[in-house]
Amino acid sequence: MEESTLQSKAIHPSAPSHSAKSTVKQEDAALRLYLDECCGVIAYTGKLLLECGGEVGRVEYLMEKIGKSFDKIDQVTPFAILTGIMVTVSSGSQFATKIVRIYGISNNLSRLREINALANDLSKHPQTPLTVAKRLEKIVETPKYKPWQTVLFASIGAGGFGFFFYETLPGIACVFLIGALVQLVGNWFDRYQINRFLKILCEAFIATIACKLAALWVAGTHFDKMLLSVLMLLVPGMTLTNSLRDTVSGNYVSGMSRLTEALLVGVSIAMGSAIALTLL
Amino acid sequence: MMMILLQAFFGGALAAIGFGVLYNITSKMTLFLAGVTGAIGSFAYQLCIELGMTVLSASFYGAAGFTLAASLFSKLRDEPDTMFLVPALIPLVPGGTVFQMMTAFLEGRLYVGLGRFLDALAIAGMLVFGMMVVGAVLKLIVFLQHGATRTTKKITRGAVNIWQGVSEDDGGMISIMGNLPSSRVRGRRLRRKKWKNATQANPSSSTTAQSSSGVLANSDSSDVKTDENQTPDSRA
Repeated sequence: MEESTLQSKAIHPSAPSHSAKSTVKQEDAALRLYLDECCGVIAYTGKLLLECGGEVGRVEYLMEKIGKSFDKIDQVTPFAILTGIMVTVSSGSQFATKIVRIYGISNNLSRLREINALANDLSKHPQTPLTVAKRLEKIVETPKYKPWQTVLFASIGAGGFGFFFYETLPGIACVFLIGALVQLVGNWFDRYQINRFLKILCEAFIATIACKLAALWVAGTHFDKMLLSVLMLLVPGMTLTNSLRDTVSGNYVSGMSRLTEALLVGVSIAMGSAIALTLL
Repeated sequence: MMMILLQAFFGGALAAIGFGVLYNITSKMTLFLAGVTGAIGSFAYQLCIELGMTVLSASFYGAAGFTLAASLFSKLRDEPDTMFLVPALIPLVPGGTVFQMMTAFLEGRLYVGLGRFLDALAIAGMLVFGMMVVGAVLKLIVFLQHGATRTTKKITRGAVNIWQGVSEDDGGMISIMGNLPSSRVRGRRLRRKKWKNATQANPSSSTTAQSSSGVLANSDSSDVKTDENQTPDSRA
């Protein structure tokens, strides 16, 4: 068998060209694998960015920046909306595409900052997709604030709103306590992964009842001011603003879906407090 | 009045810091600066209200103030400006108006609710408008420092989008002058026109001109310079 192949190589000059063809095929396969890898890393970056609450324009820009820092890549075409991401990466005639679905959005600004720093670093010092994936894993594992810290700072924020709305001092103390209570209830709901709107409805209900009781029992407090400053903890400020920013920058689909989400959250807040007001 | 302004200042700072922790800003310095940004925003808002402006223009100036502070801090700390903008924005968001709107709807007062809804949308729009205007002006100042001619070229080509904070690559949505073709393409078109005029002027070399013009029409992306270099040889 080997002799025959050797003979054929010796006799026909076309044999080396055949082997060159196979090496070209192997190179193509390797390039395709590499493109798949790059595409996966870029899509994962976009998923992390969207889930931590970045605007769509920023997400697409950072995805493109990271993609262009990789070796051999000609073109990166990201497409992100609020509920999903599609990326196509091409090099010459080869290309790879990935689709990622996104469920639920939370707010995590430090992750946004770290991925931004990573993209800036990559545009200066390019690295392979594998090392980038490892760095992304490290970013995901960075610790968040502990629950008691979030409770403390939620109450501080609510107290700050009380200050902002000119509430009296006993009122601010009440708002401080009620803010802590609302955040505790929210943490408890988060543990069981209950529907977000139901969670906000229950929080608004509890906040309204607590404010009513505080207004009844504590002298020198105003019910409406206290209620407003506690409910500011639940108001979808970031969603509303991001929706307007998305709409202005040309991403109409994400803008409209964010606006819908903000309106639904507003409806559930009002429902919760209305139920409490009719009870008392 | 001084008391009210101070109250707004510290209230905005506390609210921004609280929301910074809820949005998981882990660095302490950034958290402090976010608090300062929120304080500046709510101070400017309250000052405008005290000076007798309407809520709309007051939210515009508040947004302008905290966007200035946020872009300054983001330049200093080398972080995205979202880190400072989002917590600072929270005190100015029309949450109270949205709440009043929903209670009005639930009580059956539809017209009051609709009015509140329009109020909330207008205030949110004014906030975003203030942020956008300050961002665009800052970008223009940076451009002028960077070198005006190159930058204006970029803007006219549509490579720089002044309304959008982040994107510096192609695909700008709005540019000031509209999207003109780039200088390279324009030069190519000019040279092609010259070449056509030249061939029409001397009809003696009609065959070569036809062939070369056919090549030009077929291959749009081919460089004109090489054709020009080739044609004298063919004539000779």
